[in-house]
Amino acid sequence: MIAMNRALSAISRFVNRRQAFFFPAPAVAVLFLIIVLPIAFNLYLTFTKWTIGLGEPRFIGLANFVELFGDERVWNGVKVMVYFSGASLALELALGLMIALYFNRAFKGNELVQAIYIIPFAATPVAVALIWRIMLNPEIGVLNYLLTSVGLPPSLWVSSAQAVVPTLVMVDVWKWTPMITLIVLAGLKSLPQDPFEAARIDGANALQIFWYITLPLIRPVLIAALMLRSLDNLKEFDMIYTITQGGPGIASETLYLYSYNVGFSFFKAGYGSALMVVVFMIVLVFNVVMNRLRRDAPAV
Amino acid sequence: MRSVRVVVALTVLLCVGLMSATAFAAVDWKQSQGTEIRFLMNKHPFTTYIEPKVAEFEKLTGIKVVIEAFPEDQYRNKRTIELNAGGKVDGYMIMPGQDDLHYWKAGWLQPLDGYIADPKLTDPSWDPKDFFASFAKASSVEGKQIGIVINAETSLLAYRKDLFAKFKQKVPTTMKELEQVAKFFHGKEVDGKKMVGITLRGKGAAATSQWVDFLYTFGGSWTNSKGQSNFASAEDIAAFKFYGDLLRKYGPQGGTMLHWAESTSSFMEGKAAMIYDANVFKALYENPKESKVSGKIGYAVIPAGPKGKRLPHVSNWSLSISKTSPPERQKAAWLFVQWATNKENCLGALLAGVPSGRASSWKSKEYKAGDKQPDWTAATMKSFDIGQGQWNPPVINVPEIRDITGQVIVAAIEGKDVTEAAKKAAELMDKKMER
Amino acid sequence: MANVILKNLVKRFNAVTAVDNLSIEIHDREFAVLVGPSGCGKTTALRMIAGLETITSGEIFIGDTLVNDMAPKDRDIAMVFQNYALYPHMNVRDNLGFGLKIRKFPQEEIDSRVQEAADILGIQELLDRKPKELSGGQRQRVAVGRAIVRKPKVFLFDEPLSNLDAKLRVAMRAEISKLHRRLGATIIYVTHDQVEAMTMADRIFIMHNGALQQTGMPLEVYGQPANRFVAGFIGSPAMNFIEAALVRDAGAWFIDAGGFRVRAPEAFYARLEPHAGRPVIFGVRPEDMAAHDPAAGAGDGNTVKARADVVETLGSEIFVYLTCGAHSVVARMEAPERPLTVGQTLEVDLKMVKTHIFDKETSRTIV
Repeated sequence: MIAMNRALSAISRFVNRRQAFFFPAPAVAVLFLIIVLPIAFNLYLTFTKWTIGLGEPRFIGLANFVELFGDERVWNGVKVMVYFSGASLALELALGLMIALYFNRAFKGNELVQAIYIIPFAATPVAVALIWRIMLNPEIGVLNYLLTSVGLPPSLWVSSAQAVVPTLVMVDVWKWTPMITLIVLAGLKSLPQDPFEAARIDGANALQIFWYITLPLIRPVLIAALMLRSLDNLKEFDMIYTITQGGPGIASETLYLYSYNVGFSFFKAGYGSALMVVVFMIVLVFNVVMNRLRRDAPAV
Repeated sequence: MRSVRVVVALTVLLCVGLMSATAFAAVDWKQSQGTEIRFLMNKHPFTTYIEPKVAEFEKLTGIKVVIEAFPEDQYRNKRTIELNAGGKVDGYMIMPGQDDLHYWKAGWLQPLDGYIADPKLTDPSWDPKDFFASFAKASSVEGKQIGIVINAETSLLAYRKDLFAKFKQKVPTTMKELEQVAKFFHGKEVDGKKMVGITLRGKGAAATSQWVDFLYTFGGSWTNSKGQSNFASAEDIAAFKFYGDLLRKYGPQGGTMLHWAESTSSFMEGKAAMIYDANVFKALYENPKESKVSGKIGYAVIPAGPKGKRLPHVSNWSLSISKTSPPERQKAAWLFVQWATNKENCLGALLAGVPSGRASSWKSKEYKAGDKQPDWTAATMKSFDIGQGQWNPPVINVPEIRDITGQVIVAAIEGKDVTEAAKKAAELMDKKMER
Repeated sequence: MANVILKNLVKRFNAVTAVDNLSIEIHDREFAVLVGPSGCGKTTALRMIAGLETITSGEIFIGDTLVNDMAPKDRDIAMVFQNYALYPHMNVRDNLGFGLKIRKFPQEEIDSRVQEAADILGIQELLDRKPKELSGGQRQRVAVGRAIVRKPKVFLFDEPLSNLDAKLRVAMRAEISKLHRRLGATIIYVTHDQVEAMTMADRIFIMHNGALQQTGMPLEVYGQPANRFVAGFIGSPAMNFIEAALVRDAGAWFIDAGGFRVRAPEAFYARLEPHAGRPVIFGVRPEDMAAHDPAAGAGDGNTVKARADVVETLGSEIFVYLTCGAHSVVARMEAPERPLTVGQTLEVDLKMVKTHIFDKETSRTIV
């Protein structure tokens, strides 16, 4: 009995002294299981050749990364990614800022208009994409009906290799500009008002105030919004996959879509993992650059 | 007559219970009593048909059957992942044309020949010769039967009977005529709508399933005698080019984004004079709620190629047994597969709208009595007879090679240099093929 | 340089009237201080002069120009804001030069004016810093500098010192006054702090509830407040107000506050006549009360008895919180040689000629 009590108190002393270790331990273990392990496994797979279901992963060193450089679809994927993300992020940022500036002014019905305006952002991505897919159909879609009914020539939209990326950009802009608007609007509302009044008295017109005062002051918020949006945009999947699956051919196949196809349609886990790592690196580099830009921006 | 006897036997069994089934049939249905087996299924009409009847089988055999069904896309992933992880899976549905090599190489498919040959395990009334030879072949790998067909499909040319009659056009019997008829209808105004000549799938990999019929019919093939890609051959290129030209010149706009849903809706909207797609879409075409052209459609097998050859593909879902399942449970699983594919169930499924792989089902009075499209039935049966079970590239990595093929189809539809695209694809295919 | 004229200026925010029929004229080169408690409309009036608020009705002239519909940038004014309103992303040099750059001044001109302003304000060392690297006082100098580089006709200051600590405020007060003399510009300065108003203004404009109460030079409004509000607002500690009645007794006028009674100076008599018997408010500034010197004799009826409740010693002088009859008053006196103790009763002399009498109903000044 005494021995047992002594042992128990020894254990409790041991635990007490190491609370800092024991209390977070379960959380750390869970994080390890759901985050660290999968990433580590993914990294391991990049050095293997493995078709899911056929034997065990076979170590092949850097061969996947070597193959990647010779793979035309990788370069196509990077090109589509840069085209799609560059155009959509730039437009979303520009439009989001413009609309936020507009909403930042008081006018009648402002709140109602804002509520309606954020609907695309609030809607489920896949559901929205499915509706767009139908609307974009060149034969039975409503968009061509509208175009032709006002006398404009119909478009092939996503059915043409040339028009597909701009069309996807359009859908992405429609869906996500409201999010940028909301973030920028919150930023605008938190800005001090008197520098704007000072600038008016200093003699700046509306455009000069925007350029010299609003834009620099809102820059950190813009970059934050861009970072937030780019995380999703650079690996945009739901929308592109639902509307085009990367088609026609591979005209809208971003690198991320290609890596999905390799991993989950072709079941080539090794090569697919290597591609995912490349996508991850691109997202990482972009965000490091953005973060630096944001840190250099003035704190208000 | 045998099936009648089985029914009698079952009835007696159910009523009396104590009596042994061996008194009436060669197979002891109770031999695996108490075993529990688990089947993974696709949420397919066949599954819908068979699930409520499983209780009958359980009463007959004392085997407990657990069926887990998932929507198709999810199902394929789930099945692969579970088998890969060595989960308790005794049997599953599979499309052999899609996955047989992969699954065979992975060691997940149990050859059934031994079970079929064993009179203690297989009732003579099951009658393997009743299955169309094309489907028996389609469900086999390296000469081994690895599945029993439960859903039999092929592709057919469907055409607007009313318009063909009105404009005095003949049903095309050759590829040349097909092109001419498509050209004739393309741009014709009918009921104020501009028609297209024909609609086909054009969306990359998805298009290969119907394109392959053109490939075979033009005398082409996936691989040559050396096992290398045959895409750069004159026949293959002709098939790519014909298919692409047909869709670009006489098909709907945006051909490269047409999956079966877009293509069939074009036809059902009355915008296309012809469509070449899966025969089972008849159910869509002829449904007056979905289709504006129901009752106005004729059906034909694929037109003949330059050398008079017609070679459509047949495809099927099969029930297979997992090789990883222990022998006792495999035996029980076979009893289940056998029961689910007996003449009674195959006919029952056909009457419920699931095309059967048994000739007897199609020839039965029950089916003929309710058949509203006998020319569809005739064309389907013909296609089953002449059909080829291999409709995918003969490789393990089917989706990847289909994807490469799809790129050439897209290039052909876009009117690009098909020869160059085909050569490039052939090189890539040689590099990527896994066997 | 220019004068500024407001004619019948009105500003309404929905139901609230912020500025009510304000008419004032500020002379060229004058240091005018608009003073009043928060919400009195002074800042709104200033912002209307600046062009930052629209005008509900009335007219504003700067120089001889009607500026009602003129944009702020065209009014040739500069403004110093309460929160400095510096451009946070620009360094001091750019903050100072922004207005000139916008107006397309040549770079050399900008540089020399910025340098000049920096010299005046002693911020040469800070030109390359960002606002967040400056102290409050330094920011305030930059804000002033930004106004002076423009050399405008009129400077507007909106409570520029209220965010500074007390010591800095005193120093900046003097500097702004000095600056005014140096620049010789018209300055309109808004504050709620009557000390700032008294110390800096050429003329004070006292506002209350949107309306102008009194205009005058600092000592004028201090010595001759137009009404009870002005009397109470100007001066620190504030004037003591005691409810009282005017009583005539044997040819003399007395102010009867209930607990005590004092005699009004003869100079008051003529003005008191019409108010005989009516309730009035008797106003005494704390500094107009002194401890009675027993050596001076009984006095002339202006000595009252009081009890000291609280005594605050400030060194050379003290504040004494007294109870006289039913009234509490504050007196500001020279520190006596023997310290007062709490609860002690003392006699207090009132400098009657400096006291005021207000009509209780109208609050207007009687004397």
